[in-house]
Amino acid sequence: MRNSPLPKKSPAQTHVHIHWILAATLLLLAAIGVFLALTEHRISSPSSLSHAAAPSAEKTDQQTGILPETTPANQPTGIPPSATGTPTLLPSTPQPTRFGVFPLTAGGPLPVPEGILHPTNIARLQINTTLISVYAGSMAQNPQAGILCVLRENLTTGQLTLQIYQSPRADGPLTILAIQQTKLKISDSKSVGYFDLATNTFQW
Amino acid sequence: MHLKRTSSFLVVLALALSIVVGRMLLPASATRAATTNTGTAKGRLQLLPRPMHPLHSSALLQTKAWSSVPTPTSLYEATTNARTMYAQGCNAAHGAPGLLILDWGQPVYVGYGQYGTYDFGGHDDSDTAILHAVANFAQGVWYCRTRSTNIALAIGESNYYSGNALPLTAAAWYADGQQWGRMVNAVQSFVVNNHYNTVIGIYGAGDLETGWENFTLTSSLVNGYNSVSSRIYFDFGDDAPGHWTNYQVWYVAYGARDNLPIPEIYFNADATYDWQVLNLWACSHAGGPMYIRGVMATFIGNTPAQAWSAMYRATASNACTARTLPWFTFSTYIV
Repeated sequence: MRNSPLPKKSPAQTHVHIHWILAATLLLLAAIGVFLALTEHRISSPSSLSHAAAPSAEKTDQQTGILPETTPANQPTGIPPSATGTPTLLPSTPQPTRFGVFPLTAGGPLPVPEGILHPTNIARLQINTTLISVYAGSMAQNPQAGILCVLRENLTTGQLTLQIYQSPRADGPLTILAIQQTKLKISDSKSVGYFDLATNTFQW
Repeated sequence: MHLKRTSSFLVVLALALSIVVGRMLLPASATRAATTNTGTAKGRLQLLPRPMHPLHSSALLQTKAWSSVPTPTSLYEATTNARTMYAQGCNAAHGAPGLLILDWGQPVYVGYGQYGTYDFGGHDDSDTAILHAVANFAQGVWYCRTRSTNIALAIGESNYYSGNALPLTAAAWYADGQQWGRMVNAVQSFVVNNHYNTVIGIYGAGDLETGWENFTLTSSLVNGYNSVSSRIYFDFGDDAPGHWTNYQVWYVAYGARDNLPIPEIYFNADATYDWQVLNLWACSHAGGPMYIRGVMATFIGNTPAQAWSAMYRATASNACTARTLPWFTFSTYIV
């Protein structure tokens, strides 16, 4: 039996066999292509945050074209990419807040351009979970119109509001004298009054 | 013969298939030719992670329809708290697509060779703290993303000065700009490495106001940034007359290597008498117009629609500046 000659394949059988080999080669090459692409992508994708990260070489809109690991960009989103389903927030250092009434030289940046507000001084306080910065002064276009610009940030939701309140009097720039719970003691060139941060009203 | 031809065809097909699949999976940046950063090229950069919906780009320019210009909210930051920042990012993900700026306030020197800002909540924030804060914002964007989330996020500080926040030397402002640029690079790397960059891209920004500090210090800040980062730097400041020359305002808004203007158009005069006049100056003295990519509105004066329309009309009023209008696509409202 061992020495018996093998049956000779017909040309049609040989043709079919070669087609199978070619098909397998095709699949192999495609798989190599996929493997190389994914390998290169992973090598370039550590997930750490580092100060030493090199600057991008060119401003070529580098954010385009990289597919997310979990879902294509056109898939329904809100699906967290991590296994746990929760983000790992980076640490934030505790921040001592400077509360009180400050001159311009110490109160920090202004969220209002000089074309709108001529500032006199600044107050900062917190009511419940809302951090409040108040910028007192007058309208740049009308120095007799006293105004308060109030920036509020809800520290829970992160939402900010910035509003401007004009004094009903026209006696010049406002100055903040003191913080009294939820009220600011203020003055203009002629009187002393209050601004209630709970109701956003002036009391002269 | 037939077999040989078939096998050759299949091999070629396989190679072509592997190349196509490979290109589809590789980052686009790895296969794209480098582009230059200067002049017209930077003015026409695609800055969002994905092109805007046609309704939000060229169509609006043909129809001049304000209603199709999305207006995300920019923020005067008052804390670096992780959960607050995450919540803000989550809000942004559900908001309008486009450019938004996180303004961290005035520059300060925090000691030991480190710079940072004095934020709007009364805190000194080191650049490292801001880096973590913006990374948390980006995580909020990613985890709350929707189909339409598409954000160019610029991390901004101002050229406002008070107290002894920062030495008044060009060297100190240059070093501050450098550290800011490295921080922007690091956040962008974080975004890319975590594959958030299909929904968010990171840039630098400055509320560079002519009345706040002089050109020497402000340009040092900008030059320091550009010396270490090639991410676009948006000037969202003003062009208030009487402080700087045209060249100086142009330089920090557009002339510096990676800078693009997003001017404050709080009143119509800001568009017609300040920025358009400057842009005409650029046409005749700086080799071409500035590509004003969008405008900023705030709680007083113009609404976002009014601000955008005012700048659009002013830019369209002259042939030299009008050719930049196809790239005038951003509007943001800061609060």
